[in-house]
Amino acid sequence: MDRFTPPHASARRRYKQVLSTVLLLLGTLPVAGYAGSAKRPPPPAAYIAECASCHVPFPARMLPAASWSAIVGTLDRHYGVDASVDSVTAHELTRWLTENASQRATARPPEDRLTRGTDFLRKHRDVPASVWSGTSVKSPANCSACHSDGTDGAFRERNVRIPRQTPASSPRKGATK
Amino acid sequence: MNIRILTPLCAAALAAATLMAPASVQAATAQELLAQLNAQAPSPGNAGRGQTFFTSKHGKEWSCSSCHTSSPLQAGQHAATGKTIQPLAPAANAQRFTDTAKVEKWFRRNCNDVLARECTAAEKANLLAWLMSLTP
Repeated sequence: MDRFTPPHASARRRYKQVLSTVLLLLGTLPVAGYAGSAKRPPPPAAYIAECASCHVPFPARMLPAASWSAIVGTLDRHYGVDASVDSVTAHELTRWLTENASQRATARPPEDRLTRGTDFLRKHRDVPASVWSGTSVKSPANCSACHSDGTDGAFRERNVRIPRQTPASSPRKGATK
Repeated sequence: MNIRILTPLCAAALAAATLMAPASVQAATAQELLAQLNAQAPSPGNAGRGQTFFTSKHGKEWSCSSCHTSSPLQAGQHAATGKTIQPLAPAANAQRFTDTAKVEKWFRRNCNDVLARECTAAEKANLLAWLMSLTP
């Protein structure tokens, strides 16, 4: 900087440099983010190992914190199945699930089933009953039967493919919203 | 960032990860596990009894084969959620019976679901003897 340059010019240049760096970093975040969202970190390894071995790793945001606490507290009787974990793992799961639980829905759905929560029911209101009972779906909890990105926790509408059940009934493609 | 700082950092992280890995996984082979179970059971594992045990119900809704199919060389399907379960027989899935803690966890959970109790060492030995006898 020479003596003729106004004293604030270099500060302005520095500000521009910092701003462009921050914008560049922000631009790369969605690529690295879990489920296409920069805000959501991936679930801990224990959640994948203990929970996603039997079903897709349900997003924590789909139930209120009180439901998650109750679910982890009764894993030895988990919807008809023994899914028990040791106490250290249970503590880790409860902490992550409650910290990332739904902020909007505070009321616990019946039986703490996320498939009976108001958001889930609203999103799936156009799916015919025959789809749920079909052999390739079996259960509303079998997200990846229709959501090809369910395992990643994304659940984008464009990635929905409802499987055909029988030649007689052919559910509408993309019936979920 | 300065590469002269990053390189030792990466090396240290890698070394730490390598050193910590064996502590979290109790590695074993299916043969070692069967030998341990045989030592605990009154008699060595019997493959025929293992197959009968696996495909029979034991007073509850499910048998082992309800989820793992009666041919564990193939992938199974979770009876409740429909999720695919990778094959149980070591010949079809080399990862099976290589982590003692994981084996114990699933025996605890699944024996409770199928028999409403823990499995005995004899039952486990029979089952593993049968699974290890299977070849594609």
